[in-house]
Amino acid sequence: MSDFINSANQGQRIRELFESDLRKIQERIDRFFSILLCVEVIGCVLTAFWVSPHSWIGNQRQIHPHVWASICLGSVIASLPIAFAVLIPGWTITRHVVAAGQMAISALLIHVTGGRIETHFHIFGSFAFLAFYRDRAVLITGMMVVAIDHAVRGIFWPESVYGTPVIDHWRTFEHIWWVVFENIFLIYKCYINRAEMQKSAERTVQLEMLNTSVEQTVESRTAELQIEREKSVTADRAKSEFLANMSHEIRTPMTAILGNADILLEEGDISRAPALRVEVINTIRRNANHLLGIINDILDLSKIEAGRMTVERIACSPQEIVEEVAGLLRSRANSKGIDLLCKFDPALPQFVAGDPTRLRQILLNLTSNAVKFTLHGKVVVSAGYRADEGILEINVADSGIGMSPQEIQQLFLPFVQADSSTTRTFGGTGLGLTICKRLAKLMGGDVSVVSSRPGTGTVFRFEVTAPEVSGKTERTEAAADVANVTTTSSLCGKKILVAEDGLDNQKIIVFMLKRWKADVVLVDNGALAVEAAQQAADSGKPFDAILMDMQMPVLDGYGATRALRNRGYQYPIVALTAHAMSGDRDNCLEAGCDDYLVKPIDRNLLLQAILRSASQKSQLVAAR
Amino acid sequence: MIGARVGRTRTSCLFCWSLAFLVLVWSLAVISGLGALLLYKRTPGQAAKAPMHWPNDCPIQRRSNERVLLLFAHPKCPCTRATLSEMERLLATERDLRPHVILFDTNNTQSWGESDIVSRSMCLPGAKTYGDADGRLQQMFNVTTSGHVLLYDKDGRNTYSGGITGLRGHEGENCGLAKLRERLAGRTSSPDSFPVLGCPLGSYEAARTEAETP
Repeated sequence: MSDFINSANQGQRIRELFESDLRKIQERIDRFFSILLCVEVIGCVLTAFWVSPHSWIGNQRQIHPHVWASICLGSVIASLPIAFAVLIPGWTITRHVVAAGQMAISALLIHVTGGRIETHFHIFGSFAFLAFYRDRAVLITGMMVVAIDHAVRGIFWPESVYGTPVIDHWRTFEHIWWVVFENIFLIYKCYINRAEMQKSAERTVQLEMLNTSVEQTVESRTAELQIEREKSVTADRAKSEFLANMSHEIRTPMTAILGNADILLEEGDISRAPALRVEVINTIRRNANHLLGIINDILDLSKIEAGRMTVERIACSPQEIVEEVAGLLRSRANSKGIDLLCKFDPALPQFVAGDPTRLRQILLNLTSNAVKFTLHGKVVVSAGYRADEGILEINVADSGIGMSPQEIQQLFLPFVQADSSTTRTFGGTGLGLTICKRLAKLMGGDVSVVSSRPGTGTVFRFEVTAPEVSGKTERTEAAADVANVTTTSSLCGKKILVAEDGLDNQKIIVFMLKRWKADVVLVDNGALAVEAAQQAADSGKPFDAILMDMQMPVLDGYGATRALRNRGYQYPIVALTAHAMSGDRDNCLEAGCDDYLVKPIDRNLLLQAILRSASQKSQLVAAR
Repeated sequence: MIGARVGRTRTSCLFCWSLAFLVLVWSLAVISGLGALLLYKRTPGQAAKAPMHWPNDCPIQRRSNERVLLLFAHPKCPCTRATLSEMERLLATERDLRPHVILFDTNNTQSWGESDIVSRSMCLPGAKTYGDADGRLQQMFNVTTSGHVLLYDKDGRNTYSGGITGLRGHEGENCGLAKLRERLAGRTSSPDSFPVLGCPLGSYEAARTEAETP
């Protein structure tokens, strides 16, 4: 039924287009004939004036009746067709009047030229012009005019048309026949032209329908994509919220776990503690750190996928990074009975421009995997440099379990490990290599498998764009910081405000600060923090640092920081939060914090941050 | 709604009838015009009766046993061009015929000598042309219309008097020409005539009077 309706609509549209096109053509031909008729009348007058300008009576002359006939009769003949062509172009009656007028003009022209046979060709030309209408009825009208004219004159005045006084019907038929003969072809031409127009209309309708169909499909698909996009955005937002919450909810207790484990190890004389207790504490620390690593991986991947991961370009030493990573993993390798070796290309520059943190992260992951998947033999980390391209190339080769080509194909897909049995045997989330590859790409390089065969080992290649530079390494800076920490490992006399609502974390932070001999003031919400900080500042003894948890009851860290800044509080505030998602650092800094630390607390980083804050506070006090 | 539609239908009908009426009037006007033109072309000049025998005082010399063909023509009459064309065709077949072309003339119409009719007349095979300056020949043969042809047989009898075109200025076979051919061929010798379709030659007296008027 639907097809039938579509077919009917299509047929209707084809008819409309065909008729519209035909009408346009016929209107155009009407206008053409209106001009042609004017020209023909003028031509008649000029011809009459040229052939027979005057008639004579003796030596008296007067305008020849042919001239008057051309002017008057010509005007009469042309008037109605021109009027119709101008006023009602495209009408059927217009075409027929034009046809009759054109034939009459031919008759007039034949008369004024003295019946010259050559002038009769005007008739045939006129029929050819009339065929432009693509309407056979118009040609038939023209033929009828000619036929009636010849028939009537053939009967009553044969010499006026046939040049003979004898009435000869056969001759009438002969004359009409030649006109019909021409019109047979013209009518056939009309038929062909109309068929072509019909085909053109059909093609146009097909195109229109195709366009409509494509537009509908595009609209439909666009709407579907919009819905999908909205779903995706919603899902992405939900994922981000979930990750943020998960990160926060895991980091907060992790702070307590790691912090308490540290307290247990550091409080008292650990050498006197039973070996089992120390082993348990270390197990707790190791597993907590592992869990933290997984969370950090997930957050890194999330940042990369969201396009929020950025890399630095500072001077760093590739050799130091390799040695550092090897140093970190060597004990684990040795414990498995395998060798971890480092090789350095002589062409390796002392310093390159890169992101040392990310370089270390990638190399640590690759080397860690190599150690993990190697049961015997060795792991070799070799660093080279392609000076012409400015590319740092590090190969990590192991003699481990190796991989099949199929496993390699899936290697860099997130959450996928070479084999599910790998997870069971070696653990891991399957995120590490994915993150490494994407980080390497962020640094203008890649991580790839150079070769791998099951049972014989694997060679990974890690290359990044790292132009050679000369300068101080981040290691130097870090070393300086560490040195600073070790030489000023006491915060004696420093006044610290801790705004933290979690009891466990309060204990850990206060414990650490007191170990560093700091003077600690503890509050458990933002409002109290604002009050305490303001009072201290008003009394002329501002805190050296405020450690502000960002998620607290009554007034959160963001609100408290903004409130203090709005009141003109200029002393350092350090955000100490379990919000470790991309953008959280910016949010904290935007709220007015001077520094940002994530939980679980890295003691070194905390100490460095407090020392920086104290230095900043001293400068501010001195400036006043 | 229905009323408006009926109104539109009536207006449309009225318009169509108006168009039909216009077409009818126009058709009648065109047919009448073309008919009038045909009528004009078929209207002969004033009938004239030529002398039945060759005038003895005719300045044109006629030998005994000689047929004489006379053509009276106005030098500027456009209708006479068709007569000359027919005469050319006739002379192409009647090679022993020597026509005499008498051209309407007055003393003050010098420029007429340059007309195509005069030059074509002079080019007719074997033709002699005369300028009938005083109208004597016109009066002698009682001719009033340009294109008038007279045929006198070997005995000096007038066997044909009339035009040799079927319509004014139209070339082609016609009754007058056919009658003339029959007599030239000797198939009949009875006198006959046919209307002359051309410009009136006019009166010489009137022409002279008009020419002399300052």
